[in-house]
Amino acid sequence: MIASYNTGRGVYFEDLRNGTISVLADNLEAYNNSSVGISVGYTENITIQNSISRDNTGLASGFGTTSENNNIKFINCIAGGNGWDGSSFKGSGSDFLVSKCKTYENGTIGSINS
Amino acid sequence: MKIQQSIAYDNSSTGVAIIGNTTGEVYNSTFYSNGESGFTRGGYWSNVSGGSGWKLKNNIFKDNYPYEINTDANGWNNTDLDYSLYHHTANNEVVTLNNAVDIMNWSIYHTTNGNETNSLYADPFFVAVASDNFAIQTLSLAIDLGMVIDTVTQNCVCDCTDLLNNHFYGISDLGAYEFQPTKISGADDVDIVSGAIVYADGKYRNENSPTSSLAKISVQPESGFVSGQYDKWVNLEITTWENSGGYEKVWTEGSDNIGNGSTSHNIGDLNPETNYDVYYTKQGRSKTRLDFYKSNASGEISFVYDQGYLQITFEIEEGDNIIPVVTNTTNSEITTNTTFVSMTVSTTEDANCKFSVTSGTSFDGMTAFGTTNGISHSKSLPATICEDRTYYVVCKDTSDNLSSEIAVNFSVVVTSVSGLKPKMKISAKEKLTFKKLSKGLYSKNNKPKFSG
Repeated sequence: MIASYNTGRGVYFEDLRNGTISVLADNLEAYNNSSVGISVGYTENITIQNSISRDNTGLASGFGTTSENNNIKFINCIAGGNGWDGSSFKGSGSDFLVSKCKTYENGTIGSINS
Repeated sequence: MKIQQSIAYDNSSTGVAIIGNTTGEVYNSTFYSNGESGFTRGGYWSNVSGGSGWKLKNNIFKDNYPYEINTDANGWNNTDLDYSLYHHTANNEVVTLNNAVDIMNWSIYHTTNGNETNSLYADPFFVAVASDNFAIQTLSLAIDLGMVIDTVTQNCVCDCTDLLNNHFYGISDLGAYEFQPTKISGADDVDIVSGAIVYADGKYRNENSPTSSLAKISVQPESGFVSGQYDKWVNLEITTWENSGGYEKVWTEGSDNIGNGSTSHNIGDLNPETNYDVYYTKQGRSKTRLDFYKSNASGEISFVYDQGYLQITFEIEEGDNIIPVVTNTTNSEITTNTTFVSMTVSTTEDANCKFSVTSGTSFDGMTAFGTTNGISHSKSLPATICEDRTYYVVCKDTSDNLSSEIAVNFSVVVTSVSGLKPKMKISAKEKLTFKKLSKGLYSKNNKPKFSG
């Protein structure tokens, strides 16, 4: 799936907190959006893999999550050239995982950020 | 949180920022050139307010601005960093543990203050920073420097693969990329200066800076290498490698994995068709001769070693190449009154002698002497008639050196054959007849004439 040139987030997973459901998001590409490229909020048990978030602007993150999430995994993802005041990979919680990911040339506070 | 096998580079502020009430791990990741003017965090920024601590192991931090490591005034705050590689080209401002109030160079941080006892300060030797290739080169000190992260998963983080899904070789390297050896034992000659670290699948890497001097040497399990095995197998260091003169060769093989296993060796750069002695020396033990081997037409020998490993020094020296000289000691005329004659030869050294009635017969196709393997050799041959005989003799010494073929010529003269008595009985009448006839034949006027 491709999400590009949106005025807000590119892809937003929100309020997926049914404990029995696991989400696998594969092959996403988000670019030139005006906020977070691929965002996760109020969600648990989601794996985002083989995905790219690039050149998103504004208050942007490549891959952003909120502290209310649980069990979020980024595997083999790339964040490049995103804008200001965010994080390429941001998350929290004991199950938060960033594995085999690449983040580069982002105008971020912490490219990988807790 | 867990961050593993990942890379952050050229980001404006931080490589990895640990903020708030958090606990986690950062393993096998690379942080390069994060931070720029106007930002104060650097490669690793810690602003932890709670949690049970962070572990950062097996990482590479290079040229992050302004520091590689930066914490707030709380310092480590239960953070455990070690087994990592640091390099900060711009200046000596490598670490601050109080948000830049005190800034330490590597010597103060590591040596004086005793931080990160297993970490190093060195250029990681990225392949090509300009093209964003942060794999490490063959001489990087990051290779095999990682710590054992998880003994359950065979010492590997994640699935024992790096960011590019390449498998770990030996203990994991530092950073996001595992060095992948490309040379193959047996196919690629080993650099004499750099030696080789050979892995269980047969691939190897240089241990030191290579030169242009190569040694034709290969070592492998007698049963062969196993595809898909990545443990470090043997460490090969060459001490002496002469390609002329005595062709002496000395090298050491170290291994914690081979144990009592057998290894096949193929050694080249020797004089063709020449005998060489192979010796081995275990640590603290005396030098022992394994055996002698004759090089082929390409100047190569092959041998199997099965005397056990840890640290073994092998030596190859020129062996016995002196050809035995055979002398015929058989009488030229042998008078016998038995059914046998004895052919004898002597040699200048202990040897095994054989003979044939046909010149040019191969040694294996010849007949062995009855008494041999010393310097005096004999063979008892049937002899019931008078005749001239010729045998061709070749002897082989204990180092398999073959003598030149010599011809042994002698005449057999059978006088009488003891033990053979006539069985014919003559009657008295026949005896009288024979006597009369003899008188007639040998009378004064009838003498026999002999000629020739």
